[in-house]
Amino acid sequence: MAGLSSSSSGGGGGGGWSLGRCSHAVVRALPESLRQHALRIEKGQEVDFARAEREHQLYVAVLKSKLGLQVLELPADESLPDCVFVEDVAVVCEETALITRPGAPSRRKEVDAMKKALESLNLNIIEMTDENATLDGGDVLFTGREFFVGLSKRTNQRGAEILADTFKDYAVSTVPVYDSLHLKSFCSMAGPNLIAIGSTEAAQKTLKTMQQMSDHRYDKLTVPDDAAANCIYLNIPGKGHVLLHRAPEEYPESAKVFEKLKDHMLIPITNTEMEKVDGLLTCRSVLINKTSEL
Amino acid sequence: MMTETGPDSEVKNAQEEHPQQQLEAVATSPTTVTTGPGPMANNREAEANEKPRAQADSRSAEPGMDLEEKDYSETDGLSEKTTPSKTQKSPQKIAKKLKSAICRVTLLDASEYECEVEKHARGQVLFDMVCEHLNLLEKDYFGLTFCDSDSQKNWLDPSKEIKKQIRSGPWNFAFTVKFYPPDPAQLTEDITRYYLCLQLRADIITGRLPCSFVTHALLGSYAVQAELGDYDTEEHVGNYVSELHFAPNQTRELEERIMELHKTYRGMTPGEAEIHFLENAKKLSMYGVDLHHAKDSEGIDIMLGVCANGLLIYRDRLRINRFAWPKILKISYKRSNFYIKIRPGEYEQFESTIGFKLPNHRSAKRLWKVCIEHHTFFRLVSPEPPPKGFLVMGSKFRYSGRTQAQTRQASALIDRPAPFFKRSSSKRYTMSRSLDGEFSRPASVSENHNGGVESERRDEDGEYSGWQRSEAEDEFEEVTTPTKIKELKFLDKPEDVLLKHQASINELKRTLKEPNSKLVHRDRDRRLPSSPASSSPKNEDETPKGTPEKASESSVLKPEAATDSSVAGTKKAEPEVFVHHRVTTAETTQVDRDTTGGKETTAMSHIVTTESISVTSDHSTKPGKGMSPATELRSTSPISSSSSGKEILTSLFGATAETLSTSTTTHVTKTVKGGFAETRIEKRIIITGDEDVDQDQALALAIKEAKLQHPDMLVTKAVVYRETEPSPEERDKKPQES
Repeated sequence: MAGLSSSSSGGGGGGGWSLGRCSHAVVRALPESLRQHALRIEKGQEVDFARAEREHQLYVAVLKSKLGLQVLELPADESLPDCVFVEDVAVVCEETALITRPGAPSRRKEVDAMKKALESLNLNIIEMTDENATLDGGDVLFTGREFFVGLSKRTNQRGAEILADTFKDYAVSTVPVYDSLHLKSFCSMAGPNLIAIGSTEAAQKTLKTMQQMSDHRYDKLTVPDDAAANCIYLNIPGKGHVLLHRAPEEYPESAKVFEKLKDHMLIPITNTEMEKVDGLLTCRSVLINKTSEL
Repeated sequence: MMTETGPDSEVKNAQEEHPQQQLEAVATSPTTVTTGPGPMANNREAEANEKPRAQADSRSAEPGMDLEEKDYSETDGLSEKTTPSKTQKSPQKIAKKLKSAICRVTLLDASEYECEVEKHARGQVLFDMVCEHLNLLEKDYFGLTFCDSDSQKNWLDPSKEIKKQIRSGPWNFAFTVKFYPPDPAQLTEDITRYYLCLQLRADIITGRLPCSFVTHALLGSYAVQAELGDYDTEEHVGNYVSELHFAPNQTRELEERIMELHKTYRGMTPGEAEIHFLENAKKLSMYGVDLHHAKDSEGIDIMLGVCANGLLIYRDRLRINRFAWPKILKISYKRSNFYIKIRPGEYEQFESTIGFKLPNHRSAKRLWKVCIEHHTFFRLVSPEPPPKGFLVMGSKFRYSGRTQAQTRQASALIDRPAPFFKRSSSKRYTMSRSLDGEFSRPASVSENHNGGVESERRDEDGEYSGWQRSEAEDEFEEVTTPTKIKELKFLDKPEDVLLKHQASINELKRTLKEPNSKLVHRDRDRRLPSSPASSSPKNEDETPKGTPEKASESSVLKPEAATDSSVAGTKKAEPEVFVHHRVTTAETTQVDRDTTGGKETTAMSHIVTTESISVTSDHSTKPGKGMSPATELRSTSPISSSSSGKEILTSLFGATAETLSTSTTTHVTKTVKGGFAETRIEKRIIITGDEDVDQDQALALAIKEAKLQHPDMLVTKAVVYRETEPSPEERDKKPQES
């Protein structure tokens, strides 16, 4: 349990500095049905499935080999074209996992495999059973100190309420999401007190709202591209601050911004294919920190 | 804490008619005892005498008299109820008892403390007795509450008579934390932290402070360590924690987890365990949030949470908006509506007002008071003096206790060996304890919620004329004569800071000189010249370290600077220290505030503002601050950062036209989530001329004209100030600086 050794970093009471601590990750293989049937905001280029698979394998390899996480790989399910985007079906904070009720009806069955996986990790599981509630994990930004929940097409007030009920230690603020699929379509945590944010007006507006709602003061890292503002911050013992961010080939200007972070171990990740179906870096994993066996 | 002026003045009348009795009440000499057949009879007689006269009085007074009649009769009943305990007391005390009342105070460990206070005693007397009983020195974080006839929790105002506040209610009180210190580690004494822990444990088990299983376990385990000490294999067998209460729904699993954790704390002292407890509790999102039920403009149920940082708006458990104190320019209430006026944002030009509907007038006023108190305590250096003068409309209520800055300053001087105290059993914390559940128990009527909405009295003013005054910050619908117009201001405004500094210097001086706090007094001479920080190693965050070589006054001033800087934003305090020195020299200027009708003499203000402006360059984010000629004007121009605001300010100086001129019109339309949208038109009318101009008449004309121009709108507010011609050199300075 966190917080035993030092009161100031107390685990239970909303300590802000355990952000990014991570021992386990849950990922899921991508089904071929993703190519044709994955949900997307707008029709665009076709997904190169082979390339998508390669990108995903690389992503998993980084988590597993490079960062030394214990990775649970769930098998793909052809009947669930979006199942690779595991982030949306579970929100894990400390020892508690909230199994969500995804906003897209076609994705509701994705939760089953996730629930089993998280149970196997002995997490305290809360299920969102209320039929009026919807919540995608992609709309949930945990800053280490509090939650922001984007009210989007996929996430509603009731879903946010259940999240607040689940994680009672933390303030849960709702923020409107304009023009984007998810809250994290244009922001994410890039460090313990650092919010990466895209440059579009909508993104900046949302950040303003978040700043107003918060008792804490966050630093912000503005990147030119909204999609590149979705990155993965980890704090791995022995490696320190680790940041998985979009590769320079995809978003050169944004990559330059990340490269200025001197304290971070930077790992560029290519995500060209998944982005065609609105998948960003955080979408493909659920990160868990197990400090001890229960 | 409903202290309407009507009833107040009425009661005062009653007192004036009975100076004799009052004297008796205070006197300790046995001679006064002989005035009646016996103590009890005498007491009854006094009551009996008082009652009809009071009634007679109130009949001649406002319609509020009904309440008063009830008050008195019920007080009679009370005195009879307390009879048995009185007779048990020693005869020595008879003289006092004549006019004393028994107070029952529920303490934080759920035990009850009983004491007698003189019947007309102010709240402070009782509060001090309780703190003495508790051996508590850092008492400013605490307060007494009582329940009113609607079972609503009210704070006992220390500066007012208890009797007037509780009205018909029983003399039962609860001792509770009023201001939750954001950083409990900064408290000086363990005993203070102990009481804070008890409060938080109560908050937790009542569900007022929600937390997760993990946190329940963690906090519970520290509570066990504090209470039972080290885990002892012989003593602690079985489920030794099951008698203690830690959570609203305590499970066996939770108890097991607590015991597991408890075993790992060996060697931790109770005081350390409590620090750990508080360090974790303070991070909880609902720590120190005082919730009030309300509705937004669309009639949706929301909660308003008042806390150290500002006002939080919740819908169900979700935070939907937040207004930090610096963002709020003014708070007010009218009838059952509660309003906050918001400083314009970065890209907005104008301020906006957001309204909320409270269950009734009293709850609106209660919320307003709690806001004033929290703002003063956490944001200001010293309390603002209550508005003076008969022209003041609205409530004269202000927080009169010490602010956090002052209490830290004072407690830095505490110099006593750590008092011994027994940590009482938390067994007493049963669920039956009638604290208020908020979120967790939505079904229950919580403290500040009144199920029934008080009948809407549109013509409330007429019915309770006495209330007109007590209705603070009201926006007056009818502006009849200009002399009546005076705006009360909420204070998170830079322009008020200077005045406050002055007041705070005086206040701090007083605090340190007067034996109000004996401990402070005791060591003053020895300690004062040294830095407060050095005398209290814990006092490290906001209180800047004083420099030892400075005179006592400068060390007094430092924490002020700290708070001031937080008022102004996130700036650090150091550069501003000098400002306060300067202000000190301009002592006389403070008087401006108290001149009648908000009319102020400009020349004097200039001294203050000019002085300060030369130093506080880091306030430049708020142009206009300190530059306008009169405080009142500045307070109405928080938007002075926008160009239009500035123009107005400068045009005041430049205006030489002999006639009336309307200088500007601004529109505000804004919708804020969780509130109303309002359209607001502000007009600034500058009347310039020499002494002969009938300014009152000119203003009346101008208002009339404004009404004609916008027949569908209300004149809600008019602010009048008068300035005299600034001296030429002053005038020259101004434009340069703005």
